[in-house]
Amino acid sequence: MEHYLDNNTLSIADLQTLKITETMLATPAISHRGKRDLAQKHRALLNETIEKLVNTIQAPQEAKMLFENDLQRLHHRLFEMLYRHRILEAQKRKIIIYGRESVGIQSAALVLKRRGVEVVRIGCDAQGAFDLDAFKTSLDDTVAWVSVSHADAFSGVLLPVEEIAALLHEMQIPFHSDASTALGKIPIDMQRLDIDYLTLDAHAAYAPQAAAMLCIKANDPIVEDLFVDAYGYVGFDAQAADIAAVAALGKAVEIASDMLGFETEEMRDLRDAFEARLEEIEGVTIIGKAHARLANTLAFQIDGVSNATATHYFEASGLLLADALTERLHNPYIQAIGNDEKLRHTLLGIALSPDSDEACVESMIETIEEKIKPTAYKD
Amino acid sequence: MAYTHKIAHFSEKPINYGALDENDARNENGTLFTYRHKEPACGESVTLYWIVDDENKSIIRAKFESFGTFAARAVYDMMCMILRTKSIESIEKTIEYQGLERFIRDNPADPALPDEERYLITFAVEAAHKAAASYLAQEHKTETIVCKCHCVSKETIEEAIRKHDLKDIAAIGDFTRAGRGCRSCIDRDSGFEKRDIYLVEILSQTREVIEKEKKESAVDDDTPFEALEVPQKIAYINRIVDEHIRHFLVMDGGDMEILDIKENGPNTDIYIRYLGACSGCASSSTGTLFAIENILKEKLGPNVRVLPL
Repeated sequence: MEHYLDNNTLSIADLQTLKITETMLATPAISHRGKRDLAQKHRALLNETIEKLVNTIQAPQEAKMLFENDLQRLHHRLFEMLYRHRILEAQKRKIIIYGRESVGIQSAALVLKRRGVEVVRIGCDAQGAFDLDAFKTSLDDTVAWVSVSHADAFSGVLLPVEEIAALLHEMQIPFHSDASTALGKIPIDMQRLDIDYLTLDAHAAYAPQAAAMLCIKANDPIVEDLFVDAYGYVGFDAQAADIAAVAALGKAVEIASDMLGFETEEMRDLRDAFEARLEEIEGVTIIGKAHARLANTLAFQIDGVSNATATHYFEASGLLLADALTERLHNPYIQAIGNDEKLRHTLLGIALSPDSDEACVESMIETIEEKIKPTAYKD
Repeated sequence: MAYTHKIAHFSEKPINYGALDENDARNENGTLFTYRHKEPACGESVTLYWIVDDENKSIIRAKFESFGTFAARAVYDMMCMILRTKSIESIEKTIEYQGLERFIRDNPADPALPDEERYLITFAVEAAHKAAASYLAQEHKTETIVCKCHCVSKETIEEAIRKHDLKDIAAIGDFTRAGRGCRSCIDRDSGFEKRDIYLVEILSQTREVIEKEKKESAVDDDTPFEALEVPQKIAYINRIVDEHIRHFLVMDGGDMEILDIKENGPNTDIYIRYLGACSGCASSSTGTLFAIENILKEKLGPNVRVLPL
């Protein structure tokens, strides 16, 4: 039997979310007109989805939502529009992002850097704590916007979005936050935090990996450019299958929202038990334990063991970890943490999914003790 | 990742894994020499332990400890096997990429490692060469680090481009791992950090030199062999060796190089040196030598003589 350890990248779609997509996924790819028709046909389902999403993220009144096939493309699209409005038109020249954002945000920022935009990447310490001082120092009136996630996807450490939002609100700098990792693990409140742009990815909520959502506060100047093909507050810009994916996202968000608290507690208990077992092993350091973290996520290092070797053994033992943990070619994780030498080649990040259980934890501990630990390199 | 049987087996159960100490050295009547190549911050690091016969400057026993990719353990393990009995002075010639790569293949026709992990062999060879230089107290050449994520130097990259005739950035990554981290060293636009020198610049400069050298030593097929200059003759013979001889040698973990060519009366004497497993092999002065000589005679003329040094 294989144990699936979701680390926010390798997610298993929930069966309930898959079920509602079946009939729609059978619809062949159709024309632009056809897409409109299909959207109209499933209007009721989509409205229901939007309502669930609005409630889950506490979206402000009249907020706009845009759906895309994947989060990376959505981030590129958002940054492109912000570039037009905030850099070219508003004459700003700098953006600030968290140095360990997902690959979509990193690559979108890189595109802007090539165009001459100054990109400031805020780092974290070896315990995964966001460098708020460096962030404050970087803030000035040339900042076009700031992009900081709700939580670090690898260590699970919660980022200080509340403080960041307050600082930015004061300086009237737009704030984008990716809440994909945090969805279903902590409450998300777009209104209270006064977030201008919030993004979510379906797979992190255990929906099929084919939909991502951007929610924008009303009266934002970029809305007009972004919503070329909008229906009310739903903008579609892709294949017919997207409608199914969006509906699945809504269902997944509903489940996550209902289970928030109950499931989170269970995962926290399992995570803590896992950590306690890890701490019994000599040479293991838990990263981010001193900070508030997502209930299902943990990160650790084993002295002298490279994450490449550890990942090999986990995979060989039937413990499927996402590629974010490995050091392989074009790995977004390595690109993201390129600024942290200490963590670069040793950090292992794991996120438990609702399917994870004690047997899975035992299997990991066994693999570490029997296979991984003996490969440790002595200093 | 699915590895070949040899890689999977020797990575899981390497024969030469572990440290050697002074007691081991005394027991084997040698002295202990250790060399650490790179640090864990580079993603790969290896410590080589050699028990050395100081009189002959040869390796009695070799072991290793490593940090990094799973498959690297098999590469170091195989290298330690080859290193036994080798003279340290000859390591620069006997441990080289092609020989080691062939030695760790399961099947002569299938590469030992997936493309993106070929850098492990480059890394192991570099470790052995530097360890040998360190033992012989040779001065370390100053290196300019280009890829900071994996600590890959300009010198390593240039050598890989030359040795493997690399023509693009992806191939440089395969053979050295440079540019496979934050990507800032690829070119000015690929990453967030600034660098003094970029891979694209090293590639274009090195390619320019290679092309220039190729032109200078180009062999005109219409010119008789006897009328060629010595560098052209060597290039010509190397071409024959590449096409007809080398693949047989590297299949057994060996190789050869042309050292010189001299006209000796009616004969053309070709001086060669065996590399890798061929060096010290019993057949290298009999069957293998006759086979090489016969092929060269057939291609160049009956007066060719092959003299191994």
